[in-house]
Amino acid sequence: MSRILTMLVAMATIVVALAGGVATAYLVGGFVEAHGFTGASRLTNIVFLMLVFVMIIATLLTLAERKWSAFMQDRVGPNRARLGIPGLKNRSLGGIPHIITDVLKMLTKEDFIPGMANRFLFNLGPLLAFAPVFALFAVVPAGPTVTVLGQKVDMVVATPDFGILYLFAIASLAVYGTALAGWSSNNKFALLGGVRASAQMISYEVALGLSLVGLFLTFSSVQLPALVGDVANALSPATGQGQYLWSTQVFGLDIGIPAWGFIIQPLGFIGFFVASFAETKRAPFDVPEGESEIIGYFVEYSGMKFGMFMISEFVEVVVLAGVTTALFFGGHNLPIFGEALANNAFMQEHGWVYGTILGTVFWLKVLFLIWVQLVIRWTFPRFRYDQIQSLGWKILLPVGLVNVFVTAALVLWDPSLRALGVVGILEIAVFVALTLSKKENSEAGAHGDAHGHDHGHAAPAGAHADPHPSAAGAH
Amino acid sequence: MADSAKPEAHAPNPDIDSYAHESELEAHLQTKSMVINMGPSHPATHGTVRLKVELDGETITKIDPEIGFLHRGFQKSCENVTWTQCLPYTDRLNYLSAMMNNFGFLNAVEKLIGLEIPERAQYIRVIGSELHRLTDHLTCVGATGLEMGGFAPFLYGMEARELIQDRVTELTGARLTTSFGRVGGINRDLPEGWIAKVHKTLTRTEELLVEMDGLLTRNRIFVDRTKDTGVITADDAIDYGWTGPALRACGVDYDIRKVRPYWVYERFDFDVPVGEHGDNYDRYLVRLEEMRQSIRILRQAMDTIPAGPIIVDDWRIALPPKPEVYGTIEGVMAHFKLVMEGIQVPPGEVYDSTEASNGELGWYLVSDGRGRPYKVHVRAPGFPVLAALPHIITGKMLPDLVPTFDTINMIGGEVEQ
Amino acid sequence: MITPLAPYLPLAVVLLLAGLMAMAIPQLTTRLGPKRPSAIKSSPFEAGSESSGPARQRFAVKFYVVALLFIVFDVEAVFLYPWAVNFQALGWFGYVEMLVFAATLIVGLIYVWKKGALDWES
Repeated sequence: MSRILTMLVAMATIVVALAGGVATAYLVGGFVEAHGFTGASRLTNIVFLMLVFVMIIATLLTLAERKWSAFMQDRVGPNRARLGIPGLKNRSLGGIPHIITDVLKMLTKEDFIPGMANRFLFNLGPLLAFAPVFALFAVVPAGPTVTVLGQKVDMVVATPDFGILYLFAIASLAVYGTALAGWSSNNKFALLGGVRASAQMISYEVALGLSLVGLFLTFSSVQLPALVGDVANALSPATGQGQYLWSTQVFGLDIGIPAWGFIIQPLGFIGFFVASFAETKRAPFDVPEGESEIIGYFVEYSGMKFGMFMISEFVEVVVLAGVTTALFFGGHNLPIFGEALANNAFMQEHGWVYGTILGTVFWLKVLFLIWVQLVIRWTFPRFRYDQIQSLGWKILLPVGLVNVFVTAALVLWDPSLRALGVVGILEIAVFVALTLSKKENSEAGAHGDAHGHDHGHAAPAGAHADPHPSAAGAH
Repeated sequence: MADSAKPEAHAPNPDIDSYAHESELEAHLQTKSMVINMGPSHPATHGTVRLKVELDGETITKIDPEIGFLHRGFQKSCENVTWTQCLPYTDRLNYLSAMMNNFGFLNAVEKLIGLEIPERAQYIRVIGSELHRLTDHLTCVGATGLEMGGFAPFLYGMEARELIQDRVTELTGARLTTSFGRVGGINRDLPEGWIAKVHKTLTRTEELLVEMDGLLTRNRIFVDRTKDTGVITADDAIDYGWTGPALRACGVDYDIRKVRPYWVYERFDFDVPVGEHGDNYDRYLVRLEEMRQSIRILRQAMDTIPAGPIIVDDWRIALPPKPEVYGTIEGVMAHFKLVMEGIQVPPGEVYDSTEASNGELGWYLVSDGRGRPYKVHVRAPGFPVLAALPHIITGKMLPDLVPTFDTINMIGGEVEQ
Repeated sequence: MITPLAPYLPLAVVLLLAGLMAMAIPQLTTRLGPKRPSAIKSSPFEAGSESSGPARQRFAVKFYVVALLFIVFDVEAVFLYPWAVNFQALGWFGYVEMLVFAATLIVGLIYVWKKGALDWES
């Protein structure tokens, strides 16, 4: 009971903190736009989005992961470290002091370079693992464009023409960090890890690229702000994922089914989520680490150099959640009541309040997706890496190709996207049905008929890539 | 010089053979196989064993298990102490199922003496053995999940194991090294209210088994990784001398509890799960099902355990009750002789085996009648299983080694003695 | 201040910042941590045994065929992007064109699949 209460308090704190952060970001952005130069808010956005939001969430995630895994495994989780401040001395504070102790520990470890290692590449490894991952969030919009202090302020660092291609380009760089770390350590386990990382990269990268094409052709853009879109207001119709597939008015409030990516592109969503999950190198895709087999590509690293690999993993989790939110969960848009809120006179008057509400919505969606990733990470065992290759090439790639052309045909046939929505909802229904289908197997197990289960469509859980009937057709 | 020139004559000649260049193109680049040490200090080698693995890419071309890191001279140590004093050494053979080792040893000694132990003692031995079969299998199944990256099943297994070990502690006074039982019976009766507690523990264990089952058995990744990996045929398994769950997973219905029932096993209603394919998945399923059967046996045994003495009433074998020791001269003398000289086991030799958690735990004992063992040899179930590892895994991939090593469940302590 | 390069200025700042952070953070350990090198410590970890030879040797990479395929299909994906962005303007004509293009590659995929290049143990 007290645990539930603690969690509720923690959640409320998180919502308030997020709202506060977003509001500050918008107000500071408006202030520097008004008193500085045009475009200055983009620079403050770097500070707020990338240094404050992403880095702090990633840091807290190191603890949240341990706490949540403990929760899943009937444990208590970290609660030993204490702050030596009067009044707080006997409180575990949910384990938060452990973050400090972890950082201090890593900082004061010996920075050790193995004798036979290539010093330059050995040092370059963690750098290449962290820097690209950190830079990823730059193109993700974390809130609507609103007017603050008479200036237009948007909540994104950069909106280059190539949009999401930036993500693909930069994210692929991180594998160099892993491969270099593995090779330069002059350790056989590390070498195996580095080779595995490259094997894994070539397995999922194609599926990753293909999975989003359907979304691009639906909204005719590769730019994230355009894909996220905006709800309809007096001046312009709805764009991107801000539009409704079907909607109606109830008491002057709009409700309906929004054109979010995961509804119109469920296959694209699953392909993208699986492939980018593989990119984070976390279980079930942690073969480069493969702790119980080869200990990991970073086996020779110590101190903060090891910490860089670890924190880049967590930053990647946050970025993946952010990108998935923007691409498939409507970004900062509310599922319902979006138009009512946007056209509210008070909201139009005070743009920053509107921005704060929607920005908080965005970060809450991000937190939800981070949670989903934590649950997946602590539920599944690890793939063997030729199985990842099979998954990428024999399932995700054909599914991705079929998805592209089916989507294209449906978009041409019905530009209102409703046909796409119907097919998407049907696909989701099939996934749910497959996941919930339970085959009796206790009898089979008792008498040793171990292989009696249906091998083909036994889906372990909804989030896991499932050989969909259309994939079976494409084989 | 002429000899060295000869091979070149057979090499493809680009001038006359138009396909010569293709064979050159298709020839693989020369690569070296990599020798890598897994263990002794490696996360996957529970117990301390060193696997010298030769890799071509990640395919294992050669594997050489090296044992001896846990060698402690078990057999020699036993020769220098009385029969009863051997018990603590048997604990250390398999630290997860110490009671089975205790009872197996005692059973062999009793066979050598030709002794029938009281019924209640037999029941307690069954209960202790099955409790420890549960802990052993829980650890094995949990570790299989853990070493494939699924942490949760391991901790569910550990929770159940801790509960059972609490019960074991209440019964024997120790968590791992129980040294429970004495020649001729049991040294300590079940504590008050213990049976009800065990029933509760078993209910919780069943719940946790459902959790582990749900996380692993139909998990597509787990199935893909364990099915058709680490396969051994029934014939090969028998040739290598496999026993226990690993053999049963190959489809051989051989369980000493059924084939040659000892103690009171024939009174209980239980099934012996048998696999089909001899792969990791079957070994996992067999262990999972054996745990359920153990729980069945435990419940039946606890419901039907009779009252009565727990040790034979023979002062040459069992210590006299304390009032007799303090109050009568016969008691003091019997006590003194038993403690100082040990049980006088008649000369002879015996082989006896019981079904331990990983297979046939055999004891070959020789006595020369002097109160100390002349020879104690253990047939550890883990030894043949480990010996077959190179046969199973050569030509397979390195990631397959880990689940295979887990499901065959070799225990360092008993293999290296 | 509005120049064609303006959208890229924040990106440049981000990349610079990322590089600087990635270089600076490990330096902290170098400065703060102790230095006690020893011969044993600097030998490669091999699960507690003496190392059995150097790790820098020719290592059989079994998946090189897949690596080549990867380039082909990644380039295919890149060709799909501009088509996807202009897709609604191109209409059914563009759809059929791209279907033909993809079909040639799918035939290739089926070929390598049947050839077993996607399986490891071959």
